[in-house]
Amino acid sequence: MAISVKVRNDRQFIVPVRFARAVTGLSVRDAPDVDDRGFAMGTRPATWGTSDARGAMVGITESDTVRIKILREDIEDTAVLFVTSTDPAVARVIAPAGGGPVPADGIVQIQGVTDFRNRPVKIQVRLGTRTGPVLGELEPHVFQLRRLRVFAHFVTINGIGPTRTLASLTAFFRAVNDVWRAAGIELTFAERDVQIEVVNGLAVAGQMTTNLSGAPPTFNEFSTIINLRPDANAINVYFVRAANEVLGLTFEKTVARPTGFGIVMTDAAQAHTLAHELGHYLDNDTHSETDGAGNTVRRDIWVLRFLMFTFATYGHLNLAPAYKNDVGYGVGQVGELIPVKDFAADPLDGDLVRSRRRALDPN
Amino acid sequence: MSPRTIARLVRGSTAFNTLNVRTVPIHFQRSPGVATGNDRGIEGLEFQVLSAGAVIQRGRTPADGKIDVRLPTPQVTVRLLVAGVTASEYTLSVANTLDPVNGLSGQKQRLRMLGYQIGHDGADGNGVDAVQNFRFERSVLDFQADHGLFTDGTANANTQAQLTTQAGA
Repeated sequence: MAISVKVRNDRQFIVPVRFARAVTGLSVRDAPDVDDRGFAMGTRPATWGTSDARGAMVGITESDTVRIKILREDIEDTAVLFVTSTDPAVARVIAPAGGGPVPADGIVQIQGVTDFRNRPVKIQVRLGTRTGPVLGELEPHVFQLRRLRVFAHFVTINGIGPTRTLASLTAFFRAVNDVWRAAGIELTFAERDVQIEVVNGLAVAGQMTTNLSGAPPTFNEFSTIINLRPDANAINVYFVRAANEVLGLTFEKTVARPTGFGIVMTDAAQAHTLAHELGHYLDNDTHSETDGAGNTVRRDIWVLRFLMFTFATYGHLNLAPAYKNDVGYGVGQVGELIPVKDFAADPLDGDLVRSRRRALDPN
Repeated sequence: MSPRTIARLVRGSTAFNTLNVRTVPIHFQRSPGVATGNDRGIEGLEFQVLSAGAVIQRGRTPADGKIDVRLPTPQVTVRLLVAGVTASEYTLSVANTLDPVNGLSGQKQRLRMLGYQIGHDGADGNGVDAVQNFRFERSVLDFQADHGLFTDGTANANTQAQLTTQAGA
C-alpha cells in the first residue's frame, strides 16, 4: 500500500528506516538496546575517530553476535532490503547470510569482530541489493570485554541476615551482566568469593538505616557496612535484609562519599537495582531531569528508558499519556539503556564511555 | 510554480507557450532535517513519477537525494524501483497551509515535513492528527537532540521556535 505524503510549504523530507532493539522486556544478552536518540551522533571520545554516519549507535562486546531490528518507517513492507558493513574487520553481518533480503520481522544479526581505536564502521541498510542505495545507517561500537571481579558479603545486622542465598547469586549477577553486555563490562563472581559478616548495634535489626535527604544526609550505617572486611581487589557487594529508604545504595567515586567503596543490596533488590548501582559505582549520576530553573521536568520516554533514571525516587507508573508507561521493557518497567551517544544538552550523558573509563580502575 | 516550455501551439507563432506546473522538492535522506550539503542524501534511487497513471518523470536521485517532483495533477505517485520493479510507492498531495506551530497538528506537520518519523495515523495517513502519542514524543526528542535543545519531549517555546526556523514557516 502506497505511503501517503502530504507536502506542506513546498518541501518534504523522507527518511525510510531507523534501528531499534530486537526484543522488548528485560535486558537480553544478545539483543542490546539501541541508542536511537536523535540522528546526530553527539560528542565522540578521541578514540572513536570521525564518522559521517547519521542515525543510531549500539555497543557490542568483541566477538558477540547481537540482534538488531530495522524499522520500516517510510518505506513499504514489500521493499527488499539488504544490510552491509563498511568494514567487516570491525563489525560484520552474520544474518541474513549474504546481507539479505532482510526478513519480515526486520531482525538482523551483527557481530562485533574487533575493538580497534579510531576505526569507525557503519552498518548500512540498502534498497534492493547489497550494492543498492543506502537508506539508513547504524554505527556500532565494538568493545573489548572489561571484567570486574565481585566479592559478595552476606551481612547479619543485629542478628538478622538476608534471605538471599548463595545459590541465587550466579543468576543474579548473570542478569546484571545482561544489562551491561552492550558496554563490554562484565561482573565475574566465583562462589568462593563470599563472606558472612556480622554487625551489631545498628538502629534496626536486619535493616540499614539512612536519612539521605537530611541536612546533612546521614549514612553512617552504610559506611559501617561497606567497611566490613572489603576485598581490596574487587567490587564489594553487601547483601542485607532491608533498608529504610532504598533498594540498593552506593556512591560515585568522583563525588564526596563515605570512606570506602561498596554497594549495598537489599532482599527486595532485583538485578536491575544492582545494574543501576553499578552504574553509580562507575561514576554515572542520574541523568539531568531538571530545567534551567531547577524544576524537575523530564518524564519523557528517553529519561524513563535510561538505566540511570532515578526510578526509586520518582517511579514512572501511571504517567499520562499512558504510552509513557512502556518504554520497551514492559508496562510499568524501568528501562536499562546505557547511552552510547553523548549529547551536550545533557551534561550527564555518555554513560557508556564514562563507565568503561572507570572500569579500568574501579576500586 | 516552475514554468515549463512546450511546443508552439499556433502555426507560425514565433513565441513558445508556457505551461506552469507546480514542482515540489522531495528529499530522500538517511536522516531528517535540512542538509547543509550532500551528506545525508540517498543517492542512486531509481524513481518514476506518475500522474493519472502515466509516467511523467524518471531518473535516479543525485547525491543529495532530491527529486523535483512535478505535479500537473493534485496527486501524483512517486515510485521507487529496483531493476525496473516497484519497491515502494508514495502518494503525494499538496496542502497549502501549515497549522500554527503552537498546536499539536502544526508541530506534527513540521516534524513530518522535515522527515521525522511520526507514523501514518490520521485521516490523511501521514501521521498528522491531534493525538499525543509515542511516535510524536520520540520525534520531538529526536528533533531536540539533533538541534542541541534540552531534551524533554515537549514541544516547548524553544522547540517551537526551532521547528519554525527549520520548516521555514
